[in-house]
Amino acid sequence: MVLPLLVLIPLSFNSSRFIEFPPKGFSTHWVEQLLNVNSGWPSAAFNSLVVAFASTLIAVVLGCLSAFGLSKVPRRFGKFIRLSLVLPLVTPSIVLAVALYRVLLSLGLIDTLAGLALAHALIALPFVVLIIGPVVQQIDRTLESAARNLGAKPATIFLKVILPIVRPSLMVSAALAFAHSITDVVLTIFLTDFNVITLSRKMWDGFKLEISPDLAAVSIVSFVVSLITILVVYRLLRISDRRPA
Amino acid sequence: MARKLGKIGDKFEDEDIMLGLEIRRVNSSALLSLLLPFAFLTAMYFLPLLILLSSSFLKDEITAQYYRTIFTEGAYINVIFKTLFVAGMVAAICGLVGTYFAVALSKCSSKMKTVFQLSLLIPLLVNPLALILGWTYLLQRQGVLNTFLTSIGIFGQPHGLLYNLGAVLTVMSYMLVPLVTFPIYSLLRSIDPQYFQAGRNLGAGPFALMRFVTLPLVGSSILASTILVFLLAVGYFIGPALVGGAEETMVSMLIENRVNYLGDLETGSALAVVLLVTVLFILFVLRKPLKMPETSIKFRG
Repeated sequence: MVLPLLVLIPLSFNSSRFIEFPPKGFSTHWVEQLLNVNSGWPSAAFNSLVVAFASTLIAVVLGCLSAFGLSKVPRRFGKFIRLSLVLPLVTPSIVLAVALYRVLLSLGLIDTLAGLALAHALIALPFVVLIIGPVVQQIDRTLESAARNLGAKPATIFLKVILPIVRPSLMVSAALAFAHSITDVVLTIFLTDFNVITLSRKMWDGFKLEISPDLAAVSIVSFVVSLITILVVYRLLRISDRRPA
Repeated sequence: MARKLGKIGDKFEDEDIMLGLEIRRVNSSALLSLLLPFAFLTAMYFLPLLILLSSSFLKDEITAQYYRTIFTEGAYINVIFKTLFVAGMVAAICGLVGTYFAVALSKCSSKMKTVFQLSLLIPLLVNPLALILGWTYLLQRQGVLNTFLTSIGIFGQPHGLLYNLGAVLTVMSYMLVPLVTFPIYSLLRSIDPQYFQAGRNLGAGPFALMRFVTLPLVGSSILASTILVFLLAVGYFIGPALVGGAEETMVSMLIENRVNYLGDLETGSALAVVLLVTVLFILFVLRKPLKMPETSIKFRG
């Protein structure tokens, strides 16, 4: 029964394995070509990183605020908020893209890093809330009461009591948000034009125009990077599982 | 919902009742902290959606003509049905394959488990464009699969494996299968093995075990995940756009085309609204079996 599933694993790794196919000049030469600033890839990568960082930051901050607020608020009200926080996850990305296009257009945020970052944050926010929400809920109330009795203001309570407890989940959700931002294609296509080229955008353009060795190279690189990230996160998860609460 | 009566001056939590009146102690700092996120949401989500809705109705005057076009013109209807069909097939494939993988995952050695889980995480976390490029190389005429199969003689000549329905189904299923496998797997892990013991003691064979123990416990989750896949597949863009042929045009591609190339925001918006309504409708109708599985995905080691 287990044997057929071995098929899946090679499939998952096919991207890197089989890109060796375009035979011409496939040496380390392509790495140099990628890194050459003229090709546009480094700046694209930079843009992607900036947007990813920004959106993750926004999402994490907003997510923490939401989780904190949600844990204190009466059930029914909280349910509504929770629902609306999850909605962006469920709406098809194109719908989001088109809707945001209009709004960002009138705000003059199309084709800017800020606009894209905000859009990515929108997608990332539900993830953060979904992941750290339960954790915040489970926090022992007595810890908070104790802090309050000692005279701490809500802000201090938040920073010194809640944040440390939530930190592992926060990191995970941040990693997730980051990954989603870097790999996002749909929103990027709709919301950027000439000025802001991110990795995804450049890859998409490449796909549409012609599949060059450049594209293959970038794909391999991003695949490897993602793989490393996955491994790291996986390790982190394992470790944090074993750490005493 | 126990109703407690208290005295004036009592400290109370959320929904206690004092003197017969329901008083909720609303934490002002909580409300404040919710303000910013909510403002963000409103600005970035609700408002745009409203504008979307309005632009689908409005060109120079309020009109439903765009919707009329969508629902009457054959080309559009075709695409809509095609989308539903493809999404449905992808959901079915993912449901079956995903469950199978989940079961297999639960039965293999822990080393295999790691490899398996990692390779399942790949479609979720790696840039879809990179993945699709890989698939393109795999499936194209001079691609790996074709070369391999012709060299061992199964294929007389390279077949067109790309840019057709099969390719779209494969790629989309590949990307969405983890969404089924992970929740089911974590669910399977949490089933008390004593159930299986009991079943085996009563003389049940593997199929009976599956029917009477596993399925009832996991069934609704499978359904929920399958529906989730369907909803995601319905709005899928990159997959069909890059590996599908003209026959496989989906609603998402139409929207992109209308908005980005034809500048026809109105029709694009109308289509988007239709898509959204469909998704929300299905979600609403089926909200009971659906408990967001996202939270459980990342943590089951």
